[in-house]
Amino acid sequence: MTEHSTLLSKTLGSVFPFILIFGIYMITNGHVTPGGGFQGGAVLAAVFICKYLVIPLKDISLYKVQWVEKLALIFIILLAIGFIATGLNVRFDFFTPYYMILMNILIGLKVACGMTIIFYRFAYYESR
Amino acid sequence: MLELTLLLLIVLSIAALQTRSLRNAVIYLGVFSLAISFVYLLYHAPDVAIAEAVIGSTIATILYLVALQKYKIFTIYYRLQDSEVEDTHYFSRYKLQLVKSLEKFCTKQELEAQIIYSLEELDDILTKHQYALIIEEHEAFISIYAHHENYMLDKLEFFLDNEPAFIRPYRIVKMEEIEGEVME
Amino acid sequence: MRRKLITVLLIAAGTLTLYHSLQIQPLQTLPLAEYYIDNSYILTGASNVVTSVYLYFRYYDTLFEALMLLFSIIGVIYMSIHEGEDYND
Repeated sequence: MTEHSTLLSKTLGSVFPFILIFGIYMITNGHVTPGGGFQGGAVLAAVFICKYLVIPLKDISLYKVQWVEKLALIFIILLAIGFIATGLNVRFDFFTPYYMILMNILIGLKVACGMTIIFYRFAYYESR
Repeated sequence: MLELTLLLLIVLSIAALQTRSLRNAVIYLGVFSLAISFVYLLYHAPDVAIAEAVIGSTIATILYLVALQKYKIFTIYYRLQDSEVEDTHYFSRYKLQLVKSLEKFCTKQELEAQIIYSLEELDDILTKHQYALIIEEHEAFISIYAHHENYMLDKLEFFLDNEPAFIRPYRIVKMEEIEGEVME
Repeated sequence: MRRKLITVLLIAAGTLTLYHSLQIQPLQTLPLAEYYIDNSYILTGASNVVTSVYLYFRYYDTLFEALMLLFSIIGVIYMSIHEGEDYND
């Protein structure tokens, strides 16, 4: 995979936006159709893996990605505990569908960042 | 349809266990993940099927393949003495024989040998470069330096002992143990 | 000898499990599943029952799963060979 393959890069380059749209669709429609935050996040991470297979270019700052991931975890915990454990879901029950969509988006962000970090860590930093 | 796929699962898992090369085992595991995600779909669990197909069949397979590719290149530094450079017989016969033996070993282990002839001092190679083996030649024997965590070392020793074309005496130095001696 | 013993033990365990699983009567009622199926759309407004279970009824499961992913990433980063050096670029 170190040498540049024209066939692989052309094919993956044309499929790339469709995978991106599919992942975003899977996250935002997780409460209606099969899928959800975890699966959609994994699909979004597959986009970054495709990018590595086309051009092995180290232009992603893993530090920022990890920062985003930790922030997403904090928001997940705050949102879930603050909305359900405090009993607000009984009084503001109109907010529940929006809560589901928000949680799906946050979980998708977190899983995509996490899978990307694991993959890039293995691909770029491990040797020997 | 369901029974056929379940039988396919058993066949694929046994194939993944029994195959000789690691690369084939990874491919068998990827196909196994695809088949088991189809089984989940037949059991009316599309969420789990999507997760299994994406993670097991795509991300894990590519991760394993990249890791195997990473471990494939086996860098060997051949350190030449100054007197050897001036020698007109740059590659004498036993030197070629040694390099050929090492390449044979790498081919046997599915590795790709990358041999670098170097004039640098041993300390420089140790500190500045990524290496798997460093070979240095003395009057009577050959020294092979390797990192002490190098997992190929036992196999290399076994191979060199059983190689009939390799007659010169050698010694293997593991780098961690003689750290002080090298840095003197 | 030892391998044969292990093989016999495994086959015995397998047949015992098979026999035991044939003896079990299938459940007649599934009260928890029926509760989820009846109430998930009314309470959460999500037609996918799986999502409503893991985000509304059993949200602690999701929280600890997210925490587990974070721990695995921390393990990958700080136990890899380079140990976090030249990491800020």
